[in-house]
Amino acid sequence: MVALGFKLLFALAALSSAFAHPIREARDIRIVGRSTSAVVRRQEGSEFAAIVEGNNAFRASDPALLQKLADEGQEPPFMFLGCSDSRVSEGTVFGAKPGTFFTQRNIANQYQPTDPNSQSVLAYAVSELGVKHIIVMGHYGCGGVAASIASPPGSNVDAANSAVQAWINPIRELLQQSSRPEIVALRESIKGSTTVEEPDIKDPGFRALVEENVKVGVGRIAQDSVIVNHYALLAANSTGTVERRSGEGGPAGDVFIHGWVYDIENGEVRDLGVSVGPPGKAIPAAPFAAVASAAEKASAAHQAPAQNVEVRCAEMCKSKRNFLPQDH
Amino acid sequence: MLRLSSALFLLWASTLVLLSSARPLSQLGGVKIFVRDEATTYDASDFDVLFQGNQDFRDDVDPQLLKDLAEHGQEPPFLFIGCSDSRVSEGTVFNAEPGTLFTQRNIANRFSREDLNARSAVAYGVEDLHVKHIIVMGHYGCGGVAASVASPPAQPWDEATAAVQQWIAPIRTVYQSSEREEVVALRNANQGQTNVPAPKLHDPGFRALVEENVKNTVQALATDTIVVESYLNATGKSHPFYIHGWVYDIENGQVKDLGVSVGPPGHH
Repeated sequence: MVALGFKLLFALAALSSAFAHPIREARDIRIVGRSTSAVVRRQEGSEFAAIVEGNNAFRASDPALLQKLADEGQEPPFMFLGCSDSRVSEGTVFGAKPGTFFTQRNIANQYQPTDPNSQSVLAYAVSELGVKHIIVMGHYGCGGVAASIASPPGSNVDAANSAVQAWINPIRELLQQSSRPEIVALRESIKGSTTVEEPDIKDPGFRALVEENVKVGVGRIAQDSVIVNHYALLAANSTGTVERRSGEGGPAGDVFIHGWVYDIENGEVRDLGVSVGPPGKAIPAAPFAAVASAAEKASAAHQAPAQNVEVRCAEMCKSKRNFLPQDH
Repeated sequence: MLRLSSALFLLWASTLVLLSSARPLSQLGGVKIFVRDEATTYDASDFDVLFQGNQDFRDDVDPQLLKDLAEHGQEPPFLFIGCSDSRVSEGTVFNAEPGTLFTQRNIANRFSREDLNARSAVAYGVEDLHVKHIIVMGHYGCGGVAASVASPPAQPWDEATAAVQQWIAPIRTVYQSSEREEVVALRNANQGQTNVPAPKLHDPGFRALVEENVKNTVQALATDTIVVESYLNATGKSHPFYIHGWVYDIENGQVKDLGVSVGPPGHH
């Protein structure tokens, strides 16, 4: 089987060199938007070489899977909400085959119900694709979270940094409002200063804020009308079908929401233990270890005692009842 | 990676065989009957594939690379704007090392100046990370583009339907106004129909619309204040970047350059 793989690889390599792969050709650039177009020599960059080679290797690895996914459509089990950070590509860090994660990636893996971009992804994932698990994954050393701790740029405000500052503003708010001890300590230490730098990756307050930002995201998704409506559909035990991309309707399925954190220093994934599911359903456990116990012990004193799944679901159901439609 | 998973499978299989041969129950005419002391069931969970994949990644990746990236920060050469489609994860289809592509993924790889989500990612990529290239990559068979051709679902819409329909509305505009002949042909074929279905993967009009949608995103980027300001000011001169439009073929993993690249004025 390995020998066949190699033969395939050689064949494809021969074929692709025969067809002069388009993105390997040196192209001159035409400037769009000027009255006369100008041809400018593009710098030959070795950065393209790496991704072209990578794409060749990928194309050779499992062509049958690609054809199947193209013919049958995607049926990803997971929706992934992650950070844009180049070190945390979900396909890479989970060694995932194509067809695994329906993905939204933005700065600091945020979910806002007023953001049409992330809401449309959630909507499509739940109601069209019927994903079973929504994974919100933050990461230590997140630049967006770091920027929410650092002082905003003073005088040198341009379109670019005002866009970033506006996007990360909810995390600044979280920094101000969180009662988690490490974050309180961080807040105290920077109070009054206008020249706060981005924190070190190991700073406990920074790490805690990364985690709390994920938890808040899970909470916001759980309260989004897409999820509330879906859970109401499940609870009513109706025969309402979920329209899938392939055109097959099916019964609406369970959807669970999880909060994880990724450690960029070593590739470890940890579960924050804040998973949410439809009322009355047991939540499938993720095999990833819980976050580092030091952080957990510190926050335990300020949070409700650990509850079993049924109690937790019942508690959440109580609070969610306010959001259910009036005729429920 | 193929070899490693084969090896792991063999290890797993042999472990199961060994475990199942616990102790002999009796001997009948020279035949030993073995019985397991306790059930050794493999407790499959939905997440096993991710757990195993992450283990494999951590085994295969260069630990020094991860440490360097953590310590010195990311310096990705690329900002990638792609579709949320599960078949087009950029790390996978480019077999890219961590640290390569700073990524925004949304339905149908759109960019609009009203969208703070995508805009902030572009802003950070250009001004903070000084990426060298912005790659906009669409793909044939895109569900978001397909939905812009298909008739909208019957009203009333629930929140989920409204969210998706509103997001793809600008692509409907591209579909309705494009003068590209394949798109015109598709439009004409659909005219007058009340229940236009989503087009098929190989439909030439659909494929052309996927490409036109990419070009539309490149255009929207090139004319956005963030890019224009950067091209005009000192940052743009010291950190020039280029914007490219590509299309990915989900059937075979091929990537095609649409030849609409944009760069800073007068730069070599």
